[in-house]
Amino acid sequence: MELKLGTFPVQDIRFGARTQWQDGILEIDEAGLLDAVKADQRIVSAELKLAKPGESVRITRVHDVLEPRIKVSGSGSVYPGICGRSAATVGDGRTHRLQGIGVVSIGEISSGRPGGRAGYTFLDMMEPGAAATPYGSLQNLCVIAQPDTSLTGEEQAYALEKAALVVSDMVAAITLGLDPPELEELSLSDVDPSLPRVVYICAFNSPQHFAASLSAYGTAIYGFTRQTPPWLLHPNELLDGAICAKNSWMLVNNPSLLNLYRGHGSEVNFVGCIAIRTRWSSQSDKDVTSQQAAKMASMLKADGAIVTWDAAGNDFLEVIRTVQACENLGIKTVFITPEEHPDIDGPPVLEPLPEARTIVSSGVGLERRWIDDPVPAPEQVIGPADLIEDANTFEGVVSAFDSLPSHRWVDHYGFGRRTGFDY
Amino acid sequence: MAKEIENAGIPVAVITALHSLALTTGAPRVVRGSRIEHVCGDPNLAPEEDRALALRIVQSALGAVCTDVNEPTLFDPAIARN
Repeated sequence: MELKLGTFPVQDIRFGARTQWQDGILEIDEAGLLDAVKADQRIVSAELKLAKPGESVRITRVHDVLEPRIKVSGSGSVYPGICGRSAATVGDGRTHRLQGIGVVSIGEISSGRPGGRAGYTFLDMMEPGAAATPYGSLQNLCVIAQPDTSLTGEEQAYALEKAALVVSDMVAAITLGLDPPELEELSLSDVDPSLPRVVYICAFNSPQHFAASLSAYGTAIYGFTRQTPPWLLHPNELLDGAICAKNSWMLVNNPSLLNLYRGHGSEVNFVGCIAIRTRWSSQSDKDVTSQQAAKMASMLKADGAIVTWDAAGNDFLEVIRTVQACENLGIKTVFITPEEHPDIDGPPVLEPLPEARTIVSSGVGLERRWIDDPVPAPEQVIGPADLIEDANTFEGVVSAFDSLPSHRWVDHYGFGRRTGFDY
Repeated sequence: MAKEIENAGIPVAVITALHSLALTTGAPRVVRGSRIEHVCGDPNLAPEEDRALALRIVQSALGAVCTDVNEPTLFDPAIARN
């Protein structure tokens, strides 16, 4: 499997007469894109807005952020399997991407919890909030779509995702026939056999538990959001968006994955990716997941593994036990995880197992909202201005126009622009 | 909480869907429950079977608190003689 990944950098984005990219300037045909979004009968109304780094703008109710990518050659389509897209295997051929831009899907719908509303989520384009996420550094094209509320919560969530995909696809399509300023060739080629064989194990919460549904909206692997046994994936599949929805932009720009891949042949022999689903609801389900993931790593003859996860709570068990199972099979395993805040008076991780010897902290304060460290009031809000204060009970409303406690955001993959310290 | 109550001299059994966590964190008596969503039963069963399962789990827990243990110990309602 070989992927040629062509990159078109975007330094600025503006509305114009037609959608085009030239010398880093992206022009957007607003009316043309909106017509395409509204062609979906599930969408009642839609608008587009631009948000740029440094502007006094707060974007609310973020449903997903997509990076515009498109297959130039090779099977399948980017972000496969979701919203009726082809589930053909991706990762081969040539893909173009627009770098530095996010297509932000905004909506009232709660992801993964039918009937619920999106909770206390917002993105600030101005400091200090902008540093909290990679999205604060992007030229953002916001798609504010209203699905038909007579549809089920799941159907509304997928309609919202589809609206952003339509925009992302149309924007990415303007690179067809153009020569990308950068072209990277990515494959797991044969390399010096003395290099350590390393596998990337990534864990993704499944919404099945909350939604009591096999098809709830959430992070999808080829469209599957329900609990599934571990997947063996080529890194090129991830770069074509085989794992997407909810945090699509982050998952195709994942620094843990890309740094491992770019070290292939010089520092490591990268042997592939194993994706596991988390928040299984019984001990044996969790144990099978951990054991099978480690077995796959062993069958890949891995000497080492890097493990990331994207959730909190009891999802930790299958993840830490994957670390344990890998170590028990002789695979040196590095675990990238956030820690609980010391105020909770418990251990920094839910189940500290002695086999987890090498841990990289990706932040502190999993469940904490930084009341003492508020972010200032913005001049403009993109998206609904009322934020639900408690995402679990859907109670309490605060205004996005106010100064607010810092939003909890955990850096699962190493994007951080915030400083830390070693200890 | 189980450890603190135990330290106060009251025997404790923890019924849980995730017994490994209870054992590694040092709960004295750990009773194997059903699933996170329904620790003491199973709504997929017929009502009388669900009730029988719940009874078996609770009886196992009562048996556990009457049992002296020296280390975190797992009690399995499926096989326990009550």
